[in-house]
Amino acid sequence: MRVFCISTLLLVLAWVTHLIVWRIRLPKHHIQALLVVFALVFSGWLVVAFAWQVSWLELIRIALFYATMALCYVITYSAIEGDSPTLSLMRVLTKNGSEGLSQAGMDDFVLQRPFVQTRLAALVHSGLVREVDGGYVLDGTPSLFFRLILGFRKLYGPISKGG
Amino acid sequence: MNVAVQIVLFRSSCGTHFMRSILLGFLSGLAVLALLEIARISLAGLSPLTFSTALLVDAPIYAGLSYCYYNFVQLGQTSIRIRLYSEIAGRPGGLAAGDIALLYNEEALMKVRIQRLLESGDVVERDGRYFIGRRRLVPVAAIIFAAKRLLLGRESEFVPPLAASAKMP
Repeated sequence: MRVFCISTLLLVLAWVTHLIVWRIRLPKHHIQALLVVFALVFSGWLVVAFAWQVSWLELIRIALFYATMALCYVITYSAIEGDSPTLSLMRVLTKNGSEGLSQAGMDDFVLQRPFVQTRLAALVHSGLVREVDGGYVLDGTPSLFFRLILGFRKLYGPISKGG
Repeated sequence: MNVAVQIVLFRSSCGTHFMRSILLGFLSGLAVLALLEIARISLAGLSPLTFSTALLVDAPIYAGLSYCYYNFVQLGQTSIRIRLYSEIAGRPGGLAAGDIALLYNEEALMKVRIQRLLESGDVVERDGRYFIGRRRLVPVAAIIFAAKRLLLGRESEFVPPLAASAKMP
């Protein structure tokens, strides 16, 4: 119970800190800033934990619980930061209710949301890709995270094109 | 166990029934977790209270890691960013903007998404108009958009705040 309570308290503290920082000024790189917030809060807790002489087993369990929930939030946050085409469409359809959405409305929806262009811009902004002479090339060493995802995809076999 | 079962099921179904493989993988892992917890009670002689409080930590950790895994895999399935990166990485000289527009046409991509939603029943089409079908994504969208308003002060990276509340034709 102590592990659960301490972990939950740390997560709430991290989230409140995140909200305060975001209200003051939105960071340039949201996900990195979020990870820093979670890391700083846990680092602060480590100082307290050593002072209280918390056992290693308890510390590991708290760390595991905290890190897992923090990661879940960071993943969910990526859906908050950038628009999901699917959820955006569901939102529009919900607003329209029984009236539904005509084909013209659907076409407008697509025109107003250039998802591919913004994702491309995000890759450039994050330094993973560079624009050169009207084209795009990888910038520096391929991201480990992207390599992991692409490597994992190979376990699944071929995936059809499309978003 | 979760990961292994999910991969095996997904490959054996030739790339269909993705969500089913995710769910069955999750349940398989959960069954293993339950067995391990029961073994822990038997071997360590934990009291029911101690066991319950341990489960209060272990179960959310497992659920959280499963959620992380699901999203990790989902990125590889549907993420436009990952696909773009993959395409650019696959060409030594990079990819021209025109080629990207051909490969990842905005309209074509949305058509794929809409088709997927029609097939899953989340969206239905009647008399040339689109409507909400299954409502399972509606609360998810509501929560995400509420979070956008709270954290980012806007509902969409594309639509200005005033236009976001207006209905579309």
